Amino acid sequence: MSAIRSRPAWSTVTFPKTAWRLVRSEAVKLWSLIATRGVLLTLFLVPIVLGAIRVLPVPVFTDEVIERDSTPILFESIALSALPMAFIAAVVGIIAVGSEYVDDVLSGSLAAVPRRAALILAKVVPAAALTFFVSVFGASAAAWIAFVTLDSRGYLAASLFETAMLVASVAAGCALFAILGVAAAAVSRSTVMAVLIVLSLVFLVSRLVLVIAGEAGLQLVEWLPSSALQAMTTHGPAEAIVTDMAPASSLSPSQGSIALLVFALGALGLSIVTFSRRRVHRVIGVRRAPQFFPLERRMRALPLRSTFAGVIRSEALKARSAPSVRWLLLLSLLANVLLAVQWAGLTTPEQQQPDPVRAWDLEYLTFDQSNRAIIAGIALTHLLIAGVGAIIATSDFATGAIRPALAAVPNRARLVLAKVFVAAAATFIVSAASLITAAPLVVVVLQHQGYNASLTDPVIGLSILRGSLVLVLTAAIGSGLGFIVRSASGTLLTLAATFIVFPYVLSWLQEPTRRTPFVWFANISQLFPDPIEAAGLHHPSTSYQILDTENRLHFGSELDLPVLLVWATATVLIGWLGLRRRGV
Amino acid sequence: MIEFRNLTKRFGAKLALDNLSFTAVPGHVTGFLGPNGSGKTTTMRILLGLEFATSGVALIDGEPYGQITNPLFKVGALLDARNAHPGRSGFDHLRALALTHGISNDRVEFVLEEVGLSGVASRRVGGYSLGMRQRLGIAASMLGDPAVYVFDEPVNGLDPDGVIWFRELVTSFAAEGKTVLLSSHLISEVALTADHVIIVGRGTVIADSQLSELARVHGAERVIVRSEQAHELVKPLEAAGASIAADGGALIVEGLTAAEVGAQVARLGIPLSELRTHIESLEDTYRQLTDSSVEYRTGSYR
Repeated sequence: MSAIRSRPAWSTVTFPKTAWRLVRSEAVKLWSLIATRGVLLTLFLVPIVLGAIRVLPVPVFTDEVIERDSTPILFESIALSALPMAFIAAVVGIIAVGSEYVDDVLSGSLAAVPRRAALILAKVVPAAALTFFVSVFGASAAAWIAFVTLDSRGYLAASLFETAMLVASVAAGCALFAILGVAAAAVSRSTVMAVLIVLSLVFLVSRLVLVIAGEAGLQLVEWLPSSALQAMTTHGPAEAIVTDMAPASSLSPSQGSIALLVFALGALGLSIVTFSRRRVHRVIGVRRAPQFFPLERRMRALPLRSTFAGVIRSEALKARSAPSVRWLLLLSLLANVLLAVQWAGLTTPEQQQPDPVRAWDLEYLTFDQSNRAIIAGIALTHLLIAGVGAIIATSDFATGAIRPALAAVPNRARLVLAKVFVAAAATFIVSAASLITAAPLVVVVLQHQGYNASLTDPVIGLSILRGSLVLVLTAAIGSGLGFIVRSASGTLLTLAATFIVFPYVLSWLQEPTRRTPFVWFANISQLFPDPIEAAGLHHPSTSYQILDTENRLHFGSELDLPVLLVWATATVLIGWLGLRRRGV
Repeated sequence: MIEFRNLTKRFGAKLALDNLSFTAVPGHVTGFLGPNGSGKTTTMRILLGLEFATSGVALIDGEPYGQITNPLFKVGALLDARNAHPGRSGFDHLRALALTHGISNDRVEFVLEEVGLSGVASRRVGGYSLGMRQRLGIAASMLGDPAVYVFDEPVNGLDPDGVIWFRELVTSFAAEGKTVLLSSHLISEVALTADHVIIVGRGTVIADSQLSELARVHGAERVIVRSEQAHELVKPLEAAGASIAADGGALIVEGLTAAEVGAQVARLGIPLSELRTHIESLEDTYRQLTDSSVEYRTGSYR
């Protein structure tokens, strides 16, 4: 087989072209998926919608006394979308690599491109380029809408160059997040894990670092992706778009860009190393699979007909035999205990209150701190637990096993309820066990820190119960959404988008849109569930207005749990209706 | 040429391949047979660099797969019908593969035509039947017009027309001097397509020979002698090195060819009513050979 033999006439093989060919191949692979196009369309529309909501309520100025600068409002309307856009861009990166994990696609790709590093690097280019250009278009469109709106209302135009720079930095942030998405998916073996990594990286790591490292963590947090993105897209004189997820960053836009660039490239490098060394196939039979049969035998024999108990047992067996469920539950268990202890040791009463601490203050601080410490882990575990619910509900859809499952249990309601029950029960056992384990540790640490904590305090028991209940409801939401979305990673993305990204952005919009009809769009933010807040115990608050005089909606913390309950019921109900009506 | 030299692969405690060696030469279709779990797919995955051997090497024209500069021009592989993403159209799947080697869209259309998928090329692979996906995989393997083909269970899900088409395709590859390694558990298919057979069991080669010689080499050839005076033949034939079993009026002779038996009989002057060679089918040989090495045995039904 000479070199000439392997170069047929219809090919053009020259070495410098190799890289470009790989990139084109990956571009075709990425663009040919409908999911990519849908996500890119969303990436284009999100800045336009959010920017319009920010800018349309701006009042008209008829007085000619003061000439108003449009720059802060214009910049805010662009920068507002940076985080949601970056998140969506990361999804494009996840799709680029995650689509290889469907069926046995990766084997086929590696047979054509045996150099794995080249495969991943070739994926980075179209993912980053597509997200960059689409976000340039989206952010430019948002900027144009903001410009004409502000112009018509008597504001002075902002500098075109500075606006272009902001648009470019938003787009660059999106491209870097797309690279992060590629890295996350290359590191993990499945799309679900990739989504969990990106979610924790973008939304949870900042919180975790603050919990674990306390004040010292603040400096560290600034260099993490979400804060770096915020710094990168905060161009004066506009204020930073501060969300609950991370404090306002003190970095300059260029420092933020460098931080994000270094982080993305570092993550990419690490992921390529991992990806290159990994097995393509998960191997069956490396270790003996855990044997559940002895346990089954100990259970009471079931009557020889289809019963609900039998369906539950069957679903429980399916759930237990999924490694991802076991891993996520184990991680939740560890996170709940470790983060609780970490939180408890973080502060002393004196640090919390600069004034001299009196007996009443100490009692109040102890109550607050005991509750917060025990539920500290929920900041992380609620996503893991939602993942458990999602995997239990969707695993049958992913493999096509839903058909035999429905053949055995034709009653849709039974199947849905059994899956939700198994997800909820597993979650309850794990969360109750972890919080009960955490409680005595938390009390000991709190006492050491100078709090007046005691294990017999009702707040301990209430926190455990409420924390477990919140996680159970989260699992139910995860599985309910799972029945609607029918893919575990899709469910997690939906969860993140509707629970984290948009509520924060929308609640930020309540302020600039107050007193205008647009505030009702921003008010939607109050209707989203927040497991972290819902787990907190609060002293009955003094009376407040649910709807204030400026039409802003406020749901107090006591409404968080009912909202969560409504969501759990509604998602499961819609999931069941969907399964009844749609084919599988 | 495909070469496996002392290939050993361990998955934890499980020994998947145990010192496996064989060669598939150009101009021949090499059939690769073995029970489920005997290591066929693992062998092929190692050949394509998708799995790494614990020891030993798998070479294509003397090179490991990872060192081939333009693999699609050298090796065409169909490993699994699920190599194509269900969300992509068949055409896009092939185009993405083709682009990695600078292969033109004309060639993509040509191979689609060749496997009979032109009409559905723009439809998403998710809607394809198993047979259509196999055809798409075969098309992918033909993209670079390679000299070495590796097919893992290629006729799974193909309709009878497809099976015949594939048989002719593979035979024509061999006639053009290409190397074809074809794994299957459809013995009859291998018997019709391959001219050289490798049988593996529990990760080792238990038979490696020309299809025509397989039966004789592995003692599956017997001579049946029928005569009124059959009992008089037993001692002389045993003395000549045969092992003999009686079956009614006939003797089943193992270890001698029909010509040798005939010569003996002629010397003794015994009239025969029948002298014939019985060659077991590939299926019988296969069952006899793999009997002790079946990984997943069917339980007796109670």
